[in-house]
Amino acid sequence: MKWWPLLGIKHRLTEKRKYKLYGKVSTVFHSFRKSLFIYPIDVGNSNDMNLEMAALQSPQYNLHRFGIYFADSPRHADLLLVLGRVNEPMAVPLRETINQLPAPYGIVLVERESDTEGTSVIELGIENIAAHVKDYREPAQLISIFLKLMGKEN
Amino acid sequence: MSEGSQIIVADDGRVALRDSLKEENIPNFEILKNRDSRIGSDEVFGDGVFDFRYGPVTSGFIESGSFHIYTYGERMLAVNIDLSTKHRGIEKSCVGLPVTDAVRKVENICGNFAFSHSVAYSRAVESALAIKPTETTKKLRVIGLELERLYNHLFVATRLAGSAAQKVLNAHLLYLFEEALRVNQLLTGSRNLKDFNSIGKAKPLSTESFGPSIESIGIARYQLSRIQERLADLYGRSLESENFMDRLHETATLNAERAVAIGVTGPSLRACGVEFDLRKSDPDYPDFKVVKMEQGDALARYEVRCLEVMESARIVGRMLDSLYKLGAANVHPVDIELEIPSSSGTSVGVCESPTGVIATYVEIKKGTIVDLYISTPSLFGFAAMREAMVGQIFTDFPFALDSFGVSFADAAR
Repeated sequence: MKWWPLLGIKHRLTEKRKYKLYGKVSTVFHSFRKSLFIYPIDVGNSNDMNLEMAALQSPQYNLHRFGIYFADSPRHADLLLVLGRVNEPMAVPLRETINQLPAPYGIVLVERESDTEGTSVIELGIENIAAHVKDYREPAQLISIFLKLMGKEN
Repeated sequence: MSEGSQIIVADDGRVALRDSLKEENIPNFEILKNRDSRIGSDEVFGDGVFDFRYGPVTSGFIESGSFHIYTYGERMLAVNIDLSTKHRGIEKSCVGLPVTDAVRKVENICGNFAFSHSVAYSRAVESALAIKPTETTKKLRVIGLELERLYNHLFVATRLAGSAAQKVLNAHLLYLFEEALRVNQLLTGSRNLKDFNSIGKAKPLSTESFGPSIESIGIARYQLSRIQERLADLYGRSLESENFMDRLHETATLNAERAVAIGVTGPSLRACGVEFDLRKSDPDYPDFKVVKMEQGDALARYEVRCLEVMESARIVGRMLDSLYKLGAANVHPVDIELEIPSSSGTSVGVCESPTGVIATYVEIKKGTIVDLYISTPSLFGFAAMREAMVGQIFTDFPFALDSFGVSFADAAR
């Protein structure tokens, strides 16, 4: 068996850059200064946002260096990332998932300008919405919001 | 489209519509009939067997669809798929819209096949209304389709490596995946190629906001060759990793006969040894080589996809080279305002998406859509997957699911 190339040692894969805050963030959680656990939920988007979640975990962004991790269950999460506009049958599972979140928690809504189906989650009257991204374009937008929520200056 | 009629797509891209067929003459009738709500309705009862519901909110797969898995201990005895939470009824909501407005809605059927869906739809509308796309448009569409195949296949490889706990391979592939999305952004202005194609024309490459176009083509060309090079290296290494091979080899095997009966197309069919690819006889693809494997298991599908990434990078690279040589004037063709005639017509458009053939049937009356029916590859992919999973243990579930490259959004529409 060949050894895997550890390219990260020779060439730095993680990008050195500033993440300028995109949009507005309504709450800053001082208790999440050291780590933030995220749980993404698809509420009926066209699968493009789900692929972006994979892109968000790529070595270019290296989220772990900020203490940002993806949780495997909403019960272990600090932040719920709601992806897309809500499809009617997903409204109840979304509420159930929010009920599972331990307090204090925040919710970030992510939508694209190109979305045409479903209704905006904001219309469901959900509490604890920390940020609302209306025109998602690239992962850096979300990272800037996570960092702000954690009270980190970047 | 009237009930009981069937779209048949031949190997060379020819399409036939057959009317008033009898149920028993269509082998995949059951799948097509319930395509809005579920795939499969097998039930298994007995001591120790229970119906395990997986989804729509789980960390195993992110999409909002669900599986009903009848398990006995670790072994899966039957798998049914529930599409109802993802069904958005996009086809119906397009009825009554002008043909140009529906393109953006059709793209939202499946975000990661957005370009393929819009191309299949545009081809249907163009043939129904007798609109002839220009040669540049045809070239740009080939570039879009191959870029889409490239990032989707990389995503599947990433998922497989992640499920097999190959952390290093997973990280390297994720790196390439993000690079591929950035190439899309650089060339088309959108990471998932949305809003790049429209009826009769495609947008010129790299819009002004992304710098001088000819430079960005050079950068994209370099990035693609790097992706191709690095994937070739990673692919070779992954085939030597016994751990990884052990997880994929003979997992979720599909045989060619069943694959054809279900209606599977794309890499999953080519991995069973069937040489079916619409690009083979497409004049826009000169000297195209079909990639195929014989075994029909998850490993064969992984191999087909990895080899296709390299083939796609080669095709796009060559096209970008020819555009680069022609100079900036040809990359930025004058934006012709295309007249969409408000006439009537009926036609079918087909396209080879990353996961298989998309066939779009459209009926137009005075420039507005009267009927739209879209046959998506994921529906058949899911149907094949649920058959291939039977008898496997639950640990094999992610390999079966990811290796088919299917998505709920595409299957449920």
